[in-house]
Amino acid sequence: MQPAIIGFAEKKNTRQLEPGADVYTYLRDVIAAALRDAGLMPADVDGLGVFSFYMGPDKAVDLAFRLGLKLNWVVEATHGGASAINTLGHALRALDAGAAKVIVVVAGDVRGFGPSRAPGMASYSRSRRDYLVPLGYGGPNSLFAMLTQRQMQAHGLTREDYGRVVIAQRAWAAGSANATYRSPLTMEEYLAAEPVADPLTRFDCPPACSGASALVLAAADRCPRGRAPIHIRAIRECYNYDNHEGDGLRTGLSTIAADLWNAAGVGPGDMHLANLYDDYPAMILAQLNDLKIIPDGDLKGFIRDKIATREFPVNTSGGLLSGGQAGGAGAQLGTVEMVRQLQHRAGDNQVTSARFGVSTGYGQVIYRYGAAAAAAVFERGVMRI
Amino acid sequence: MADEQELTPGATVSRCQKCRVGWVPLRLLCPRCGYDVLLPEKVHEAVVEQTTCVRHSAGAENWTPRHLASVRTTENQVLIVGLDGPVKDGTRVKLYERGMAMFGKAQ
Repeated sequence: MQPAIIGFAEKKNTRQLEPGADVYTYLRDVIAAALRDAGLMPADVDGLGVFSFYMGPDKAVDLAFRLGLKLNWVVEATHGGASAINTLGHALRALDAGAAKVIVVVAGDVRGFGPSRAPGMASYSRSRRDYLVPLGYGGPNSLFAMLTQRQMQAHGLTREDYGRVVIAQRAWAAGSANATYRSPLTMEEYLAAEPVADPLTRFDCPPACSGASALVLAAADRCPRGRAPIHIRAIRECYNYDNHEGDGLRTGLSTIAADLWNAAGVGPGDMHLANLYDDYPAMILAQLNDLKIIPDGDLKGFIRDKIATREFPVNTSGGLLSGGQAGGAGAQLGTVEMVRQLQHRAGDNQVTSARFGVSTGYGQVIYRYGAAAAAAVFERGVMRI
Repeated sequence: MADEQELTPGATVSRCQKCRVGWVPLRLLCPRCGYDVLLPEKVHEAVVEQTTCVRHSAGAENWTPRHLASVRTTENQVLIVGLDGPVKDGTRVKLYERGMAMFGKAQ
């Protein structure tokens, strides 16, 4: 059996929830839509992977019960922005081992906008609850504000450099039906935006929103006719890569990149696009650098010559920065967009002849920066006729 | 920053009783040597490396700007501390804590 992604669905990110919607209806809607996309029925599903920050008190098995899914395999991820790649890896190995035949990987959250958000921040982890919340740190924005200062100093970057990254992603968002913010952004608007945590302004921080997405994995020959299955050539993950002794400018990807490319049998120069976990512009650049997609460490030149010009497409859905951060679904945003691109279903945003791409996850901010990182290399398979 | 009476001097690190490295946040095993006995000890001084002013927090009502810093202690731990107000990078601060949260006060 050659496992592959054979279908997907994504709900439009929104900050205005429709009446009656909650996290469970969001997860249901994308599971049902993804199965239709794959030409399968709920009764075909025997594996379920879930990640959702706000699904509690229910767990994955509760969700399966409410969906009427009879499962032989289930997993629930709790690795922040790395949850999607983590769950995808588990699912591939389960299919490969024969533990399941059809697995749905679903992610989604309905985000609170107001005081209700505060308890989630406070209970995110012991370290953040005990060390940071009492300071009034306001969430990760403040931590990545200081990390951004370190990156600016280390690489000679300016606010305009980050602006070019954000503006490029907003331009991709204009062609992405599911993005939250799609209107064009100018450098003047970027530089004049309200400050959030110096030097970050609101365009540097992903807007919280509600959303959900699902992938269907099964044997490649179950892919609907007229579609190409999407293969995963390699997945690598890294957790607590530096014991929090570094400066956060390198992520865990720096420790797994060589093995990832070796296992994939292709290199960074073979990629047609990258969809990276973009909680902040600085982390897009850090991950590109760690993956050696920026071969010479010249972040400034890569922004100017590759990202701003679209010579190398990055975050073609608009990413979290324009698409919105929908909790668990935010972690899967890049992978869903990768499937869309490699199945050549991206409409106005389609990267011509896209065959290879890399997606990442990054997160689980323990104290000063993220402790979790993961990456997957994807390949468009042969279209079923 | 909270009233100074509420603060106790020093910031707690968990000190490995074998290799003597002090860690923040607190650990269960020493990441350096793997030893399983770590005891709390205080560090008292640090130098500011970066600062930020948190001007907005999503969902927070009546938010007032907060000043935070990333500081490096004399033992090389990097801590996130609360400040009374803006300070320049390179400023030497004395460390305090309330509960486990750490604060810096310019000397």
